[in-house]
Amino acid sequence: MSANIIELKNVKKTYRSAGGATTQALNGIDLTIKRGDFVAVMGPSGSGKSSLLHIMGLLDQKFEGTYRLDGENVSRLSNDQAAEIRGKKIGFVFQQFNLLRRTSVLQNVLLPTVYQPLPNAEFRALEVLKMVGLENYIESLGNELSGGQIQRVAIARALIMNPSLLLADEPTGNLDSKTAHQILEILREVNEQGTTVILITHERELARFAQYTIQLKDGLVEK
Amino acid sequence: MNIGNLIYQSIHSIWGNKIRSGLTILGIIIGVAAVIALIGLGKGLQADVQSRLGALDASAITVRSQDPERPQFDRQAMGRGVMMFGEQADNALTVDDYQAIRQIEDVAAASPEAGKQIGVDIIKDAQTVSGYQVTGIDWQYLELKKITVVEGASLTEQQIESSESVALIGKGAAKELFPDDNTFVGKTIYIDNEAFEIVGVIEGPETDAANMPIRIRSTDPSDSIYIGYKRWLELAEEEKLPTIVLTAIDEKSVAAVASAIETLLLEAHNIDDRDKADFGLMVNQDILNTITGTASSFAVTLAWIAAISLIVGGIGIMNIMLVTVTERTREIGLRRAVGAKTRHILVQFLTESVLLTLIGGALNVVLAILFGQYIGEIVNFGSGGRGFGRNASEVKPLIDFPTIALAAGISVVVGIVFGLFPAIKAARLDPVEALRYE
Ligand SMILES: Nc1ncnc2c1ncn2[C@@H]1O[C@H](COP(=O)(O)OP(=O)(O)OP(=O)(O)O)[C@@H](O)[C@H]1O
Ligand SMILES: [Mg+2]
Repeated sequence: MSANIIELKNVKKTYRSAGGATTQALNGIDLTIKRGDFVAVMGPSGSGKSSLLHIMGLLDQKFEGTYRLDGENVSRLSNDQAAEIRGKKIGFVFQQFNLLRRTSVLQNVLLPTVYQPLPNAEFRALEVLKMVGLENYIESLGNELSGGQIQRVAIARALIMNPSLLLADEPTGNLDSKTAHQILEILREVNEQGTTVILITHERELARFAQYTIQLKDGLVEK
Repeated sequence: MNIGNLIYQSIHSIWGNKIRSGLTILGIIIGVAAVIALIGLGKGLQADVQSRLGALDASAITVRSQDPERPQFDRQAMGRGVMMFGEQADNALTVDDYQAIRQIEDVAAASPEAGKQIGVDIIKDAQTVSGYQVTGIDWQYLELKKITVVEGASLTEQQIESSESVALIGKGAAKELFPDDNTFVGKTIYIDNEAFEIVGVIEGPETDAANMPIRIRSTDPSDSIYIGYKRWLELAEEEKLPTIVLTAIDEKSVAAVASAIETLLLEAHNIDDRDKADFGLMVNQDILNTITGTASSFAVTLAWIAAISLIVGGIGIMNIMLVTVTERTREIGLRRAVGAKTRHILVQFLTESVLLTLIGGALNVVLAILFGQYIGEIVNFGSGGRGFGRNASEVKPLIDFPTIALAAGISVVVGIVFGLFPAIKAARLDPVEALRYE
């Protein structure tokens, strides 16, 4: 097992819009993140934070440079190979639309197990729901929850497969600061149990929950 | 990803949009219903035509005297079953013609059929006599026309050859003439005031008269009187016969027999131009082929109409699935993020569209079983109508197991065919794009 969970070398991302115009979102990122780290990623809007997270999360395979995840080269994967690794090793928490509406909390948390088998899935779902403090809401529907509860369910879902990496893109962007703190507490707990957490945030105050911060600017890591 | 989960997800999504799903299913119900009903109807129609034509012997040929000025007279009139009342051509067929036809190879049985309305009574010189169809026949006639003897015996070859005054009488005619009696053999009837002894009582084939479009009393064997054809020629003061009926040994030899008869008669009557022939041939096989051909092409037309309504239903499915895919773009992104592969998304949306159409197909079978019986009446253009099935019971759509299987099969195929494009579209969505979708 590699000590570095993420190694990025000279990663570049170029968006080509339909009109032919190109945007260089990432200009050659070199980045190493150790297993078990809790990292905050900050930077102005448009600096390439989300682009970076999508690449690290294997949602986006169209980039230049090399990416090693858990010591394994994952730079040139097919869609389905990427899906396989995502399902097993990576959990996501997005800023919004994290849950299926009209679907129970339990089913939402179980969603990853639809695509990759997990023994005792329901037991594990209850375990992660307990961890985020929502064990009494398993039958509630996605659209019946508060913003903070939604994000907690999303964290539970991200954890159900016991991933080695949790990626959160502004998970508290829509929450008040008190609730945001609660969410960060949970993420810290998740990290303390061994999961590497990468958190994109705009707020310096929240970045303090992380062990260290990476600053992005114009598609580059600021030293 | 197991099937139970797939179906659960699909039902969940279908149920989540009840009105939209309901309307889409309605489109499929109409489409599949049209297929079942129209195919059923087509089958029913063919079955009906076949049963009506069952009495029509495919190896039978009728040779009829014909006015060369009105050459199509026979066939058209025969088709409507009114030839007995039409203007009749002069009798053109001689007894020698008849004997010659009998000699033609592959002729199985033949007989003259020389009918005429003649006054008949049970006493001589009665004041008022009723007219009966009195038909001159040869000994094979009963076999040819599937007429059965219910009392006594048929005419013998001997009786016919020697012009004996013996007669066969239809059951109905016998009852009319002798209302107080139950047996009729041995009794005397006066045909045109000439005494004939009844030697047999006969009955026509069941279906024949009962199902004729217009019931013609005088041509129903049960209401007719039959005598030897030689005796008939004397009685009717005729030299020639109007009609000769025959059958070929099998359906394959019909054409050869018919052309042999034509050649023979043209030569015997000294006619060079077949358009000026004083006789006409009616070949049952031709008529059967025409009618069954019409019925089956009608069935094919119905199937096409059904297919079109099915396509319309299918387009409804495609439309709704495209809307669903667009609406659920973020859901697709989320599923991809948690590990769904392209095929998972494809199968999920295909399952949903197939389930939609299957529900439509199933409801259809239920509706068809409940209301299928009324479809017959619709084809009759209302009860008491003059449509294909004058009795609603005759043209009934056949809703049988194959039809149900067909409905299910069609539903699945429509679901797959019209769900495929939206499902592919869903599967091809880029996860990042899908997650960013507003
Ligand atoms: N799909 C896309 N097509 C074209 N350009 C894109 C696309 N996605 C991002 N970009 C561009 O790439 C650059 C980086 O975008 P990205 O979303 O990574 O920034 P960000 O740091 O996450 O910003 P924010 O803080 O506002 O979320 C921006 O200039 C953006 O306009
Ligand atoms: Mg962003």
